[in-house]
Amino acid sequence: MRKAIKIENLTVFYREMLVLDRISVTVNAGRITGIIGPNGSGKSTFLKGILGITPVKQGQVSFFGNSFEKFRSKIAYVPQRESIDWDFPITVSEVVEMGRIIPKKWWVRTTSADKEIVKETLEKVQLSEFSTRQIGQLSGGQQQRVFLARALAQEAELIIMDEPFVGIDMVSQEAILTIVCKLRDAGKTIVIVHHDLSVVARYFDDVILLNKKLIASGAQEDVLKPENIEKAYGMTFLLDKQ
Amino acid sequence: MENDVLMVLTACSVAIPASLLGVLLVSKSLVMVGDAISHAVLPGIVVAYLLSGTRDSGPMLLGAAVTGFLTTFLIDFLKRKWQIQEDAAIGFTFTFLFATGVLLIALFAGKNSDLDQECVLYGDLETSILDQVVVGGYLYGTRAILQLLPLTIVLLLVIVFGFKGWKIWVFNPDFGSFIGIPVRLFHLTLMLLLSIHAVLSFESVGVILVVGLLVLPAATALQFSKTLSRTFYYSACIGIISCILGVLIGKWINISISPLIVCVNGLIFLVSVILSPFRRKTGQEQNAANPGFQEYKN
Repeated sequence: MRKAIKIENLTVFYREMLVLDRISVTVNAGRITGIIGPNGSGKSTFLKGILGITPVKQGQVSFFGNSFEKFRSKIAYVPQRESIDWDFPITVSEVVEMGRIIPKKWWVRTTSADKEIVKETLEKVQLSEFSTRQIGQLSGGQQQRVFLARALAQEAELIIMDEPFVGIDMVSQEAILTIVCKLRDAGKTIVIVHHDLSVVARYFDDVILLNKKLIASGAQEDVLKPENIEKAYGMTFLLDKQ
Repeated sequence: MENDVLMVLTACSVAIPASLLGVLLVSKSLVMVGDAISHAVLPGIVVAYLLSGTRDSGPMLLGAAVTGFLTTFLIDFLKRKWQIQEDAAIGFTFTFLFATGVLLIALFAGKNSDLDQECVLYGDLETSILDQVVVGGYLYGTRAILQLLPLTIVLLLVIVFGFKGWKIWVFNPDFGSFIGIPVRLFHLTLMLLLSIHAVLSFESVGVILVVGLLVLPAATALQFSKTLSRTFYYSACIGIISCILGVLIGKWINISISPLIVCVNGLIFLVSVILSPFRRKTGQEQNAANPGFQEYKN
């Protein structure tokens, strides 16, 4: 199986605190990989670390054998809800249009071909009728789909989503997962950070279980065994579930 | 009459760039930093004045740029390296620099000089229009207008050409730095323009009231617009309207004009909040208040 992301010895500190301890793991290409762990286990930091958003203490990361810099244009990142200012005066189609920006030439005007792609991607996530709405006027699930549309507009090979299912309803969750599965079937690699185990079992192909350290990784059915889950979440979680 | 027009134009020359800068400050929640910079340029102005002995704009601008960057750097340094909470870092930086400036004036600038505390703090629109540029018998405008006009043009160019970048810088900087847009450069550019604006406008409106011109038109515009370009446009219009109203009312009841302009702006803001179609809330509040509600409605 092709390796989409290869991570070696990733260590991240926040202030004086060790957040991630020497994590070495690989993400397979053409699959949906879930990064799972309890709150505060360093999942988001892990993402931000491999994407160069958060400074890392040590570690090497390669994307399809390339450095991040070389592969950057083929990666799409769907941020966590809290990092977005929902009051900002921006319309749905403007957000999706961001996906068409050429990073080294961010001042270049949007072409009509770009506009066409924006339109198509909004159709794909079923938000065409909302294209002129201000982003804050949408529901949580719709907002998440807007960001997924931006990732689609980027025509990325690797799509990384940070907690996309927080605070959204079941209908939107299903809608997002359906799109994600279609993307996987089209050969894209998808990485999703997620904090609980509910949806995981059905949709994720591979799982990376984290809690400051790497607990386990591999095919979903191999990783999500009681002993691994206990290691990541502790006894209380298991008792709650039972 | 000619003086009134000159007064409106001078006020507008401060208010227009302020209202444009303000859009970026308010939507990025950097109002406190804007406040800090407009105060913290004071020691820069004073040192430049003491060294050059004139109030020419060259040395002043240099002084402002240096102190503006010093402020940005200090806030950032305290926040990141010493892990001091942001509001405390801002509070410390600008009060400390501002106080240093006030002391420098008291110690060195002397009572008879051009630079006194009153002027720096409150500005004086009425006297600043007396500083006119007349070449060959023709009145070209007040010094404030001629100094702020180039800044406004530069600012407009920066906004227009960097528009996509500004949008990302405010709305989703993580995405920006991720795809490789120099978001830090945008931050520094804004801080530099802000420092220059603070220096060029302090004679007319003073370092305290200029914050009102930065914040209020932009905050008002944000109540009504759903795109960034319209916010800029509305904000500038509100800035201009408040200047005209301020001068008219000030002449009518014979009262100091720059505080009046800020008051008018404040009232427009209050009315706009009441009438706003969105009644802007934070996204979290909105979603907590009606989780999934719109999903069903639509």
